[in-house]
Amino acid sequence: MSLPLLEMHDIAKWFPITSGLLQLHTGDIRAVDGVSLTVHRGETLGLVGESGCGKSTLGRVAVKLMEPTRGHVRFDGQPVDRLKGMELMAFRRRAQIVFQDPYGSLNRRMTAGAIVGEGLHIHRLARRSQVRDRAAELLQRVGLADTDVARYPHEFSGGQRQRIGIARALAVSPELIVCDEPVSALDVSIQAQIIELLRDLQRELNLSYLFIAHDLAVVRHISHRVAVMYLGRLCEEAPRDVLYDEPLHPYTRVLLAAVPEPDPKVPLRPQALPGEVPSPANPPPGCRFSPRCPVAIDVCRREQPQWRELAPGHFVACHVAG
Amino acid sequence: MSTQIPHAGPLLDVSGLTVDFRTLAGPVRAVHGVDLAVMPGEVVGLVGESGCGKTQTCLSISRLIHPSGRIGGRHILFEGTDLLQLGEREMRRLRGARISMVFQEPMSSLNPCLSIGEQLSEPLVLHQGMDWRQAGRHAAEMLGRVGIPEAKQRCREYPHQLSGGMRQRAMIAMALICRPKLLLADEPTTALDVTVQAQILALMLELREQTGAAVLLVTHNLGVVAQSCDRIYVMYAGQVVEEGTTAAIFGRPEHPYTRGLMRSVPRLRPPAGSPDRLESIPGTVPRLDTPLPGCRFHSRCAYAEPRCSSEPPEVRAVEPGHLSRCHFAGQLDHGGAPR
Repeated sequence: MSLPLLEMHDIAKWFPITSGLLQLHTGDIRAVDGVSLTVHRGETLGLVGESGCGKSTLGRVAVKLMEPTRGHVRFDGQPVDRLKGMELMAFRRRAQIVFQDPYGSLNRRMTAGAIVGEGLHIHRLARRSQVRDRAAELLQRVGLADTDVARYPHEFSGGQRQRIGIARALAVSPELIVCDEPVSALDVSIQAQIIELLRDLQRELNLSYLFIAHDLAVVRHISHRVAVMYLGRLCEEAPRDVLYDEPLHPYTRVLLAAVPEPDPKVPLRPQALPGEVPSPANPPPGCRFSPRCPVAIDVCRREQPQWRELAPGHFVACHVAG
Repeated sequence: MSTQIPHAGPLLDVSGLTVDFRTLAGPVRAVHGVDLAVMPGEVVGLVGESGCGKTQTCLSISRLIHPSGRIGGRHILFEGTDLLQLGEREMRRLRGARISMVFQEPMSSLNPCLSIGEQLSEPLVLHQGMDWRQAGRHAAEMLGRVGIPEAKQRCREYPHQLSGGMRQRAMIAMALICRPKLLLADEPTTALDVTVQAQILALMLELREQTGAAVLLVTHNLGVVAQSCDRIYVMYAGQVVEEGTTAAIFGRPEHPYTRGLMRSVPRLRPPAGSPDRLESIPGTVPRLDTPLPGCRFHSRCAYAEPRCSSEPPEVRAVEPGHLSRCHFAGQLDHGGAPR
């Protein structure tokens, strides 16, 4: 396979915990703790996990909205951590992000046209006189009207705002878009519109997506490969259908069994999952899932499992699997 | 779904319910003539997208809507008593005792200044005249029954010390502690992770078996209703557009909106032969502050005919117990392909 567009190697992101008057450093929230992944051109990597597993933090590190505590990000072969000046500008243009909250992520004092056109200005991709026309074109491309350039965010519905967020990302002709829960705030009928829009844009523009979501059915629909995250680490990664049809990690299995299918003929058979997700400030030794794992053995509580390739492209971090 | 429904009148019978709000932009009718019934011990789903009126319908039953709203309609009969005729003092005797509620966000519906034990004990003291010590013992026992370990210790803790899933368990324990006949659950699992959601749903159904409480489950999640409800009401723009058993609604949806909704949900295990593209319902939900002549869904409907834009459809029975608010109910599959 060709060079991956995005390569994240052994990424960790720790947030310090301070306490008391002197703000002494008393520990770290290990939001992400040793994750490696790649995204190829024209591909969607789905990243799933429950709240607090670190998936959004990882997405922000990928587009350099946060610096990792450890590890390296490479974009198109170039290390991202040392980028400065024009090179950093170029990276910012090529890697974009779409956020979850279509209300909080748009400036309410700017028109849709100004929001979408801002990137064109900054990256000098259009003359001042052309920005408005180009913004109108982009809004049309994502299914809004060209006359919407003059309207403000509050005049749009949630689904329409998410379209503006997508148009803003597209404006600078990026190669990678990190989609951080882009449809979870939307109603199902609108969610389907946005998912299909993202798929169409990918085909048309050969975009790569890092698609972060907690909804396993949505991720199956849009992804080529899927990675599952638990408490700051990856458990399993595989081509889409392999992960859903032959999951190997016990956590992936529990997660998939817990999804209620919209079909009364497919009964829900959740597996019991004892306890709760431990604090990322004080993760358990060994495998992070071991305290709750139905098949854990002694070694799981002592040693961190290796990231093993059990079948072509199917990686698992589990002592027991395979 | 295997429970026997006793052959008696409905526990809850809502007829012609309307909810009106005064807003700066003018009056808005959020609920537009809803008829709904819940039998004793039955789990009934109320589904629809945001703004369809499902939450306001649910809140009007316990008369907890925002003060700017007005509840109207023929009646809300609960165990034969019309709740629309009751005074506030009589309503307070019912809430938490015969009818109780679980809301979406357990953090904002629990009192942060009272311990979990105090909050669980309060309904017993208020409604059953228990003393606080005795109520406290019951509270700890109930907390244990909803699967919270070290219940006695947890009773002394405050809401912020519990995780989201634990808080929702505590809410359910509080709602069921007086053995109500009806539990109104408004999106009880929406704020929770999928593994916790599965646990909470299983818990609610298990407690239904034990206590015989009927449940009105309000949700936008079709998976949740498919897995937990006996019967379903589908709401759109303030009206019930379809009602039927869970098997009928999912097996033979008769309203074009219900069909569109089902086809737009991505499946975890797509059935063989399902299309690669998700179908979506074009357009957006209509605004409720403007007059809506004809069928409220006609502008987004694949089956709409000219009469749909002017004539509001009546509710028709497609088969006994399966009703659809559509001019072409029962004929959708015979009138040719959707346009």
